[in-house]
Amino acid sequence: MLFNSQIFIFLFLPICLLGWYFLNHLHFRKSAMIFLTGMSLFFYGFYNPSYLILILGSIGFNYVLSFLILKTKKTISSNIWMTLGVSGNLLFLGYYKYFDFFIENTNFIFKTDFALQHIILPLGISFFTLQQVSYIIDRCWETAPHYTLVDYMAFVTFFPQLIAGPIVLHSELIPQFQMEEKRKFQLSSFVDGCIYFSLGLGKKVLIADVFAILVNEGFEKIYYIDTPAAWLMALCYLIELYFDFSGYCDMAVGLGKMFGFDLPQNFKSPLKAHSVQDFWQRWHFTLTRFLTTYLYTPLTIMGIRKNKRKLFTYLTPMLVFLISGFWHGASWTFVIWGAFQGLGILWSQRKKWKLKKSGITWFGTFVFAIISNAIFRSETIDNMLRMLKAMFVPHVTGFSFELASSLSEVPEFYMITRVMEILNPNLMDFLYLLLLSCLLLISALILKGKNAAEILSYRQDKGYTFLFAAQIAVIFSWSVLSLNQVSTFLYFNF
Amino acid sequence: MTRDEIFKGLNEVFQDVFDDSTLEVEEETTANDVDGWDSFAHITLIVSVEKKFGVKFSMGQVSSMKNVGTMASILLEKLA
Repeated sequence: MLFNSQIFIFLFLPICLLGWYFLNHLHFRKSAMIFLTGMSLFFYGFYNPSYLILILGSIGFNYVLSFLILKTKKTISSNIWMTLGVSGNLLFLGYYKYFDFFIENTNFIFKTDFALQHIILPLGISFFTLQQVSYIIDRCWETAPHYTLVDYMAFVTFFPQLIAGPIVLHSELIPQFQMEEKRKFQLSSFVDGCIYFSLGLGKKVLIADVFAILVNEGFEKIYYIDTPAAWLMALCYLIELYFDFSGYCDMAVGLGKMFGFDLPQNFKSPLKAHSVQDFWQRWHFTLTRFLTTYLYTPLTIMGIRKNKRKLFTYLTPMLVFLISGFWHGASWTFVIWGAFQGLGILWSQRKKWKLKKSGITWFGTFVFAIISNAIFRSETIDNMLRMLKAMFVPHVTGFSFELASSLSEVPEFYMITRVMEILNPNLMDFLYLLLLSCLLLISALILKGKNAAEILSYRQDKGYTFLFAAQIAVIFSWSVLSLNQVSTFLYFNF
Repeated sequence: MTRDEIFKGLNEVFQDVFDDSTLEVEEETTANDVDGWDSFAHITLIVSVEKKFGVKFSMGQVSSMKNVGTMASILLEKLA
């Protein structure tokens, strides 16, 4: 089920909230948790119930492992369980996400003819697998207790964070499940949740989906793009991806708050970053946190302890981002994207030629993000090379006009374009460019301003005004009216 | 070793790692309070503290260090 659908907003969510607070009001604590888990599983299996077997299998495997760690604490080394747990989860993810990629590459290298399985990526598998890997490692590091099955299932399946993050840690959510005061309806938390959700929905429906039209059009006609069009596409995709994913995460945080729970912030104005390292502390923060805690820190400490400081200083960031790239998808373009990020991180960590934060450092990081996204969006190596060639070998064919004209599909522009068609059809190309410039300007102003968390904290300090409530109501209503063209979230593909 | 002695040693390590002889850390000090305390500096810090106090932290201990106070408590436990 999608957050940006009427069935979710007007049917599923109200039923879920009413059931949750009603059962808690009657002090049926356990029933409330089971109800929440049941609703979350319904949400997950809405389009394809067969995926339920996968998620339940994954939960079962990890829960049994956690139980065995508890029971064999004195007899079996936790390293054995960690190896089993991590490899079990990675094999599970590997089969569903990378099997065909592996076969394709084997066939290519060894000239074999193994048949592809054409496995469709199960929803959210990359996210709930990482979440459970972190739990198993924490169990082996003795920083996590063995929870009850009800709590554990509710933690993994909690629908606001199930499909595309944020990657919530057990220590962030399960203790909140167990807090008595969190089970009571808190108006302030609920209101904040509605604001977060509306802002996120607006980001997704009113901004990301509009830029998506232009980006998709450009990549469909990638053979014809010229230099300005390539830069424009890469810039628009960066804006689309940011508003799509951060919008999704704002909605997730908002939904969490409606239930009284705080989920971690996944985005902290990443496009204001002044270095690649700074960018990754702000963009998909919970993924960066996962990779830092479970991969980067242990590997680098191990390297330094073995007196290989220099080697590991360079090697680990590169390795971490190669893995991060591959995690995003089974394609060589993601691996190249990861390597590009790794180089960016190494550049950020340089000791010499350090620049103070300024417009130059911001602009450099922003351009880096644009180029990164050109690689990220290209589905094949061929397309990636075409994009990069178009960006860096200057030539102009006027394709930008055609690209901008794809905005004719945006319902909000219908009246303006119809009027111009009647008045002066020759100026249509310029009208579309003007509309695109307006969209870019609005996006720039939003990106420059406060993010959702800052808006909320500002309002909590200053108090809510009628004007603010009206603005949120407009964003929500406008988004809901635009929901007839429901589109999936980009991070559902990863 | 007392908590004060541990903090004295920790301050020396912090001053050395962050190259700032005026730096004084407290119980509640976190990475947000010290300029340049990023993920790599954190690792350098961990390894330097290990050397200074002659201990070896487990990964669980490293991941549970939420502030300098928890680092000091872990050291106190290890040195007891």
